[in-house]
Amino acid sequence: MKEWIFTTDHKRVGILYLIGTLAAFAVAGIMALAIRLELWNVGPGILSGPNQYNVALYFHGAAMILGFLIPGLTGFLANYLIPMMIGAHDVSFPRINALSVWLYWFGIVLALLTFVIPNPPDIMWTGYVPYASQYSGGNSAFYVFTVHLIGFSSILGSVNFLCTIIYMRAPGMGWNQLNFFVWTIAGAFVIQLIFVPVLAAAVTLLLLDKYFGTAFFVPDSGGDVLLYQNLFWFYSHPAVYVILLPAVGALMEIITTMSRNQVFNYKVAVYGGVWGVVLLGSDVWVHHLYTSGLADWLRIGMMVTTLIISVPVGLLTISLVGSLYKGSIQYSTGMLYASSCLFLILLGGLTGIPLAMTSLTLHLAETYFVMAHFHFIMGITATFALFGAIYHWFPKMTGKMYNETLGKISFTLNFIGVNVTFLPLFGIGVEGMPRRYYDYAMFPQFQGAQQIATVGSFIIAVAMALTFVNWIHAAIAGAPAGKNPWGSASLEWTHADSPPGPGNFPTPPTVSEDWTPYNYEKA
Amino acid sequence: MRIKAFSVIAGAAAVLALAFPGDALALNDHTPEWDKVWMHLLIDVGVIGAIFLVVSIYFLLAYTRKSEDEVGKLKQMSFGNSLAWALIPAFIFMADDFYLAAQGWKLWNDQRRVPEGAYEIQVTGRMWGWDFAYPNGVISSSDVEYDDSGKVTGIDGDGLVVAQGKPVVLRMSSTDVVHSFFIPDFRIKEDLMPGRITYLWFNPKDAGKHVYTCTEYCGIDHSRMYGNVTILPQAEFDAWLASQDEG
Amino acid sequence: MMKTITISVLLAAMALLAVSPAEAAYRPTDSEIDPAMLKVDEKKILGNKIDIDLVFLDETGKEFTWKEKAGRAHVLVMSYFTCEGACPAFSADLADILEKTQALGRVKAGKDYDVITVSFDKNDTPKTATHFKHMLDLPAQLSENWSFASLKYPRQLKKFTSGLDFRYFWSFTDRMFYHPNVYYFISPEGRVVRVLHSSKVEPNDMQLALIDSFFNKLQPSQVITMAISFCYSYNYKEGKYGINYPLFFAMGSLFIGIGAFGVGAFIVRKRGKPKENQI
Repeated sequence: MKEWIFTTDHKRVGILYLIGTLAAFAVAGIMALAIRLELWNVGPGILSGPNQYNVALYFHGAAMILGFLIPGLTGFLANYLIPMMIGAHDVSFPRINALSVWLYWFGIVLALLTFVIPNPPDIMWTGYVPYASQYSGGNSAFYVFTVHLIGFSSILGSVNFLCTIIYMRAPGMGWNQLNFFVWTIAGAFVIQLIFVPVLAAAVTLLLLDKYFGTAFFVPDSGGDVLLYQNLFWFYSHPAVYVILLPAVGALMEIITTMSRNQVFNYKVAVYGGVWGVVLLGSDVWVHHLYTSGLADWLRIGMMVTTLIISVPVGLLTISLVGSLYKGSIQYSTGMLYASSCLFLILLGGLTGIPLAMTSLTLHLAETYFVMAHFHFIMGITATFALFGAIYHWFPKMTGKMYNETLGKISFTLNFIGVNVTFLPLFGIGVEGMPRRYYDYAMFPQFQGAQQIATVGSFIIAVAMALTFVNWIHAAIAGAPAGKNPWGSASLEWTHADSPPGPGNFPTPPTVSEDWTPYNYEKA
Repeated sequence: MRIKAFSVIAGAAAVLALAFPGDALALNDHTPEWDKVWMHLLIDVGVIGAIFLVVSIYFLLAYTRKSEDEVGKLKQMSFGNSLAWALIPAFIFMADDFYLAAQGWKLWNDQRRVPEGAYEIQVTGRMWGWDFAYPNGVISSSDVEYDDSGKVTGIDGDGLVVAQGKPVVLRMSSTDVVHSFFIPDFRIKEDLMPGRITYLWFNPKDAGKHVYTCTEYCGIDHSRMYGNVTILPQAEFDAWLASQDEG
Repeated sequence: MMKTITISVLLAAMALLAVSPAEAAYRPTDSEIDPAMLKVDEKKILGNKIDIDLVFLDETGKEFTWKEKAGRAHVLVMSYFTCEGACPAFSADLADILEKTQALGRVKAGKDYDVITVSFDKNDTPKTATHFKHMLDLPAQLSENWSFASLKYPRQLKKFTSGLDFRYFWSFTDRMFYHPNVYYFISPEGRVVRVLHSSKVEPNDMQLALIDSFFNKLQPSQVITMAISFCYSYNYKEGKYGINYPLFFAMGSLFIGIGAFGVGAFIVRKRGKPKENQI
């Protein structure tokens, strides 16, 4: 136990992240079920009232994004995989890495206190002022400190991993020989490094306004209400790419490994796709503010940048699909998750296009359409990528094999569940159903769609339960998996044991000039 | 459709600079135009989505592993091919983006350019209800009422009442937090903030009732901040306004 | 409703004063004026549109309506032209501030905005306006872009002033009007964008209020002007602009992460290559 808590080994730090993220995911998922049940009928439902509903919404959003998606992809996956993929024995700063996971765990605990403290935060994960700073009766401080802790953890992680990727690659490993996942993590951490402090600053000022009587965002005393929204989305839109990029990276690793193929158009996907998203992603945040009363020309300007971001995202998608071409595809559970993401990413991405257009968004903003859109692109695609990755690297992490049949059954249920849940919500979203509604007495005609969605959410719950059972059972009693069950050409499979020992590699790897993690013809 | 797209791109600058006649705007109702742009968009993204999906499914089915030692046969691309696979898709995506932007451009102008002489009503959002102040000083409100169990029992106040066939411009502000005024049937919404003024306009063509509701999270009764836009023929509207003035 | 009541109370008070001059003479002057009464409620009138059909006469006798003024931002001042004390001084102050504002280099009379003084005295005519303008002796550039207008049909005065929350009354004892001294900033669309009380206006406030009034018409070449306006935020309580601190905090925080990475990279480089036995 002690050797786990005080560990500085990146693999154990990664697993600690994984446990935290799955805990956050489970609790936030239960909140989602409560939300869906509340919406079963028009009028009051199973929850005690709108306040409890709002707290559930707040927790679901904050925990899924800050506690599950970002730490799951940049905390767990990056920690476990990056050093091994680049042939390093650990990260640049192992102790700081341990500090990161500690801060993250404290953040999770603070977030979970929502269920214990009186007057929990009810300010949604966006925490818009002046509601959050002047009017909410909830303890917004818990939200602010959660952002601080997880944000600080993220900045430390960024420094650590960027240094690791730059300075600790195996001898002979050039930039174009890196795993695609390494590139996406580098992109995600550059975004985190630059933009997280802006969010931290904005919520800090919110905290000062609420508890210390300052007036940074009080309009009567010279505060600018819109500035908070701008600062918030200045980080939080790029945050979507912090989630999406590593998700695409993980998908690429799974797809190339399971089809024993190289990355389609590697250089374009890296330098155009990944870095294009990083560059453009910072200039599109105003599309979250299309209806907020900003100057019209500003909305038009950001409409253009938002639409153009479809170019790098399109290049990434082409590379994902292209990597299947002439491949030799074997369907593991991880690969099923990865293949389904090709559909989910289309659904989520293409429904983003109307939301980039100012004219259509004037109607669609703040409706279920937006909600379904970001659940598909950010929530489900990233979750499926992460779950696929957990299945894919499960043999590496535990040295044991999960039950493939149960994995495939739970995947099928999961895939059906997400579509049953969210597809009807697109429909009523276009009809005008607003987000964050405890009651929809003005739209009783949407009750049917809400009920289908609620049924869907319980299908997901069953799938998740089966998945967790599968993992826990396999970790304890799974059959030995061997060093490289998928026949991958990547260093963590070819050179490290399952599970890898301290220092990762029995002998430190060096790579030759024609080595790439995707060179299956040579291997 | 592609040909049309390219011709639009060719004249993109001209299209963007084109000023639409103000008078025609005044008579435009956003809803049919919005629905038209929406249909265009659905077809457009539907085609893109279908192409990607068909190709993906074909690859997933066609390239399954035939033997244990089989490996993928994707070759390293030549520099020219690689560049072509970047530039051609980029060009197609950009062309489509600008085509869509041009599609939405006229609608956007309709939505944001308030016609001259529109009937002006001052809207104030508050936690959790709406006040509508008419030019003659009449204030009409709407507040949702609900019983102890939380079940909505009705709406207190007439809410927004407007005359049929006359463009209405809403000048909006909030007394407390950020709200957002949304009329789904008219396809418009805009936020209300303390200390700032925002606008919204619509053209109520036919008499009838439509829901308006708050779409920016504003606390406990966010979902109970709605009411009805009632569109009356001019004579009835005048009578209503007069009756409010007396009361 | 409130307004009507206030005004009727005032009228009654004025009538009372008129019939009892003896009593009024004993009142100290300042108690006659309730300062709150002369305050323009800025928040209430923001966004109000000036009646674009009202016909004005400028100092040369030319007719115009606000419709023709549309397309250009305006500083609007309410005054009366036979005033010998405060008004000319007030206008001279404005001229002085506008000169200083122009010296800041971002806004220019005639290019970005015009100035218009409108009389609220029904007895004013282009003739008194000419006299008033002449008396002011404005600098040439301001003079060209500053018109002194009176309403063609003085009975429409209420129509004009009510939308501006502008209340005034004639004091028989002092033989003068009491009225608020404020600058209205009118957008190119003819809407009230900002109201500043003349006693507090610094050139910087004037510049920012002017930028606010034509913000939607800013050209790409005026990007610095725009940036300046983002750096300040309006304080309703004080009626002044203040620095928009959160923006600077946020911009400053952008360097935290990059700085941290710099430190990290420095340490790694100093540490040199890991020794083999570490692995």
